[in-house]
Amino acid sequence: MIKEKLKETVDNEKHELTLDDIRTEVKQFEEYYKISSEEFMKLWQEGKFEDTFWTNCWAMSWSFLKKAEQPGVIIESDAEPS
Amino acid sequence: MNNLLEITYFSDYYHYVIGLLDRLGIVADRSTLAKSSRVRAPSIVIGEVRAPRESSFLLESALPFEPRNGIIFLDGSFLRFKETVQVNRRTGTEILAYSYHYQRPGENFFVRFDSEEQPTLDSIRKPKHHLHTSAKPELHLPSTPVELEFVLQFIKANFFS
Repeated sequence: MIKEKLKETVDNEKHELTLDDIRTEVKQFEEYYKISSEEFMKLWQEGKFEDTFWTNCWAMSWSFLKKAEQPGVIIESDAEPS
Repeated sequence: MNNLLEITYFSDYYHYVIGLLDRLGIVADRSTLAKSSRVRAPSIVIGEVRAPRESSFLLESALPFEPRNGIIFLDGSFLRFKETVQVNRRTGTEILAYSYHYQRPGENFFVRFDSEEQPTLDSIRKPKHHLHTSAKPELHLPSTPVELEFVLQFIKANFFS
């Protein structure tokens, strides 16, 4: 039972991205493209930025982080119990 | 096909995705499947499901070839995907945004189904639901909304039968 629980915890940690992971990812995009996420999103919505799987990921991650910053929301994690 | 309305917990949606992949019978490796921490507002939870877990765009920009990652199929083709998922305890699960990128290395072929959460400013040039193909990747071809289950069945029907 304990072994199973331990395995489940390890699996959750391995397969879960924390908000910090996502912030790091967004920062990498900004550094690579030398543009802030705000500027990127403006161009993205105008259809004026290159459209790849990874830039889609950037747009989704940025929107997700914005939701996480809304007042009153609670962040839930299997990797880092709050 | 639409089981999403019956899924009222984010963890159940994640396990639903695992089930889809395992039942498909053509997946060789799904070890990079991952979910994010969740944002909970009153009555809704929003999270991400994706494969691969880590972005590899920096690595790819440094390599002369594109590494295979995401969900790897038995023939070496692969599906990268990311979804923003909203789960409502009363009304079930809704996919707010997605990108499903299926690629066949060696054949110079890919197709990617995208949907954006925010309305685009030019719905003719860039419809909210659109797809890209390797034939002319910059074009945003209009598409109906799709779900992961459809994309997996599309791959199986067209490349594995």
